[in-house]
Amino acid sequence: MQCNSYRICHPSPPTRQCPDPVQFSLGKPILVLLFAAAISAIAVWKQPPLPRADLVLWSFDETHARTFRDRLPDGHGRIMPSLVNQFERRLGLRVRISLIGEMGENIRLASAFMAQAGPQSPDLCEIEIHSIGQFLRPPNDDIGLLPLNDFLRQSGWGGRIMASRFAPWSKIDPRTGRRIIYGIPADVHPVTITYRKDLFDEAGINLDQAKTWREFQDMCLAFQKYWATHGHRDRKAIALSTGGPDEIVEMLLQRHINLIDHAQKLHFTDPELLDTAIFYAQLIAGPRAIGADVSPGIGWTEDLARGNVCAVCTPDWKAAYLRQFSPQLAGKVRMMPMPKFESSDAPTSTSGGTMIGICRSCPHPRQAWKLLEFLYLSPEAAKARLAAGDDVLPAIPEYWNQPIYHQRDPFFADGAGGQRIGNLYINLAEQIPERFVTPYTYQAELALVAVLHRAEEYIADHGTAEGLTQPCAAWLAEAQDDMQRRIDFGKFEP
Amino acid sequence: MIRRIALHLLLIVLAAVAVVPFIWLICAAFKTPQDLLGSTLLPWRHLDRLTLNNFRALRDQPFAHWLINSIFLSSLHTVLVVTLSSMGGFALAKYEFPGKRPIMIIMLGTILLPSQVLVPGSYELMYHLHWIDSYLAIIVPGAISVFGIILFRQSMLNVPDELLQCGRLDGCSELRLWWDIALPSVRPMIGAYTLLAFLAEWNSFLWPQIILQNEAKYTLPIGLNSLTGLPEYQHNYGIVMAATLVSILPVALLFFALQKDFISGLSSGAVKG
Amino acid sequence: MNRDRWWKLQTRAAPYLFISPFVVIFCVFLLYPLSRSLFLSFHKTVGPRHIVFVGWSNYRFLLGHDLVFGLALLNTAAYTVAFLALQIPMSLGLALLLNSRHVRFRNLFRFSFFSSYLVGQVFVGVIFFQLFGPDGLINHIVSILAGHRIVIPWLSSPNLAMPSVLIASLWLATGYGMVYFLAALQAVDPELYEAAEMDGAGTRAQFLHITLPGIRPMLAYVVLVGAIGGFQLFELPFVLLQGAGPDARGITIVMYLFLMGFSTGDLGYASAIGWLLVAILLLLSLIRFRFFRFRPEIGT
Repeated sequence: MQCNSYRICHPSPPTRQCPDPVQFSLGKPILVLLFAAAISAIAVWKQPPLPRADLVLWSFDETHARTFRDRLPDGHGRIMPSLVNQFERRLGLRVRISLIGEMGENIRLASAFMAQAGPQSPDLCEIEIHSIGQFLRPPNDDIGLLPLNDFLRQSGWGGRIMASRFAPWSKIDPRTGRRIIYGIPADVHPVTITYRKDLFDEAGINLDQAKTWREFQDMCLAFQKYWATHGHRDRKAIALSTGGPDEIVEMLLQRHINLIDHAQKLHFTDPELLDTAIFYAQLIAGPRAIGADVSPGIGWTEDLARGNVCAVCTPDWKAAYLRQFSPQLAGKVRMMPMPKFESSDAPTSTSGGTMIGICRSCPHPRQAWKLLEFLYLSPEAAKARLAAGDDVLPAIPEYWNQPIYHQRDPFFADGAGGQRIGNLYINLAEQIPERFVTPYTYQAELALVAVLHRAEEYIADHGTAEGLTQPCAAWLAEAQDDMQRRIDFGKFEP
Repeated sequence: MIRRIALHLLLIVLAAVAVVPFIWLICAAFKTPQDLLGSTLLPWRHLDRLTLNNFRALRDQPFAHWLINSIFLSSLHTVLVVTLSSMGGFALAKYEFPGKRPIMIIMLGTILLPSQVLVPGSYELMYHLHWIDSYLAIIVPGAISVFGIILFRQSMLNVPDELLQCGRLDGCSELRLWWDIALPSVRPMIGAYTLLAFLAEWNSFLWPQIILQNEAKYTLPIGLNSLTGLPEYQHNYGIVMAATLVSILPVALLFFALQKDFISGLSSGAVKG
Repeated sequence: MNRDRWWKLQTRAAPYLFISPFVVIFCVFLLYPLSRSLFLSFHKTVGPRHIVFVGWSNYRFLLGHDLVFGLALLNTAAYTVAFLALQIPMSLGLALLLNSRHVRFRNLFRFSFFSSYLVGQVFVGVIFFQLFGPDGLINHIVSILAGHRIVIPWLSSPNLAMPSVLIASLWLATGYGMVYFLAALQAVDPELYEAAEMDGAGTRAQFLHITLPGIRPMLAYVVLVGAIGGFQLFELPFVLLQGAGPDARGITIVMYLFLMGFSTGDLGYASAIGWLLVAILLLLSLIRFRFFRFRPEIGT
């Protein structure tokens, strides 16, 4: 009997009785999983629900979350209550700190800020410098974060936090020309260069004397030449990425160039940028190359220890890793300010950074500000940071007088008990260039790296950077046009 | 004989290539951070200084919670998605009913859609349902799979109509036809799809990370990711490796224990397209 | 009489009951977000109060001016083709080897080949991120083979970015494909081979005329899974290359979608990318389904 439609086949119910099912037709694996689900469900069921909280803070930064939530030693052998606890006791409010992966936090915030509905966003959030651009894209009245200018003025903190560190987290109001601040910086992140003093000494070179990048390059070439004849032909002087924007962006900042500034203006055709790009290309390609890539993650500490590369650009958060992961380098490395291109350049740069902000939808911005003040700005916060082992320089200069920022550090050699690297960083912190971040900054950096690649190829083909100026300028102009088109397209004209 | 030895040698070499990253992972899980860095060169250096510290560090994290949560979500997800997909596939393969064609067309259109497009809309929806930070937001939308339903439809097309007809004459309800006739004849599909569905949920990353807020509710990949942080700040690789190892074990066990059922099912008839 | 009505009802309602959970969940949890993203793709938006209808302008810019989208499309397509072209023969070859009657410890071999698939994409990214480093294991092995230190810039050279991703994903997926092929191979009727041998057919002929037709449905399945996975490639390169990679040469369509949506914050544009991808894939699948059409009559 062949039938395609059941209707034709059974106009009436059958008379026989269907036999009882004899098997679990979905098979053993599903049966096992069913049991697993049932058993684990009990454990899951028993989990305590999230306690209610008056203020919720989202953070992606594990160290910060620890600083806020953990009970930490106070330096006199006692354990302090956690920052959050102290705050809760003082104001009688309940606070929750949620540690979320960075990608997850960004997507959640983007969705929450987009969807008018308020309470799905937290009251406060920490945002990383690479992520802030997208949140500042809307016109000022539609940004998901609350302007903090009034709080800063009323509380007096406005004048006490480093002004240059507000740059990444702020936007200019097109009508008044006033700077509207959406985030409070956690850090300054000045950049130095850390180099293998032992290896440079052995080659008879005092890198400290390099005041310009050109001198630096010459010394490094002499250094590589020495080691090439002493059994280390692959030894490169400094870690410079060939596929990423990190170091060239740091160098551009030294010259006070942001690829896109806070007025959304592009600077690809700036003659200084052209100069820097060509200089950087011949630092990593051709006969005068002194830079090489390092291993991923924190592998650079190992590369430095092995002498694959002998110098690294070190923002303050990187210095701590060096101590932690390459203890064998103690006494063998030294730190110096970054060389400049011209005298007007900064002897340092800035890399990375985190802010805290209040969401516009927060129903109690005053309470949120109180929490922000306590977690980020208060003396208690400064103490907790150090207790949590976070010796990154805070963005508040008055805390820089803590002894820890001024003591000798035997890890860094200077002939007498160790270099005072805290002093060096503090000295440089006052001179850090302003860094702006826009929604298009990441794309602009990609475009710049693409130009660098063409420049590298040119140098590799011609063996010299001579004659590169013209084509490189053309490439940069091309990149600028493309970026400009994108920015114009994305611009919002209601 | 020589051919047989050559065959085995070849297989051993290939298997070695296949498991080297795995071995590297195992080695890395037992190393101190300093040695781990040194071992980017060689996985087998410093084998005398192995440590259990990475695993101990996991105890400081709500790692057990994450493990149980992952088991719960993945198991439940798999049971639901296999059941519902086989039901839906049965309906689409063996019945003619008004509305079938539009359903099929819309399904085929969406199978290709990258899930990332749906994220903002879904998040908004979950908010309105008050399902943020709830497993419902993961289980309910995940209970169906267009891909699964299409697979089951294809294999159920092969169930002979005569067989169903006989069942009906025997007085079996339609549900019993699905359970007693259709399902046993697509066992291979069930085995294959169970594995696929379980692994997909076990390793699922983006959506749970967006939905779950309470750290005690995290799944393994999300929990691990909150440990690693940003790539440039990453410094506890050893812990991540240890955790990765532990997180692979349950699936490995599942596969190893049930590989006969997964695969004998498969081989008894293959996926009949 | 009552039983009579119940019986009629249940036969008539059965397909709807079977399909209803799917349809309900599909409509609520897929169609709503879907329509929302379709809506967004015709709008320009930066925040809740700034949404403006712009017609086809997002799509026009994508197709007319956006070089990165072109690059992403090219990358993704090249990756998918290369992936399938390598994964299918490799998986099938492994399966044929393992299917040989002489193999001992088949379970063990099968497990070791398959084991890589148990590691999720994200963690494969993390592991290979280390293995591909300048001083990583892979360069080390290359150096041993070459006899002197070689540093291949796997992850920082634009030309190697996508091949690196491909290597990692092949490691991930070859064993997976093998398991499925192995199952299909074991299901081919051994009598067919015996008959062929008696007819004097060689290995090649046997492969072409018995093996290949026998595993064809499975082949279609593995190709479909691979193609969908290829076009939706995102997490692996995103972790491995730390974003778009050197010179943006590791960018894929879904990664671009993600970057535009959640790094530039242009949800309308991101949605348009997604829908354009769907349109392209639909076009392709019209062609593909002709080649690898599911053929239910085979194997019954």
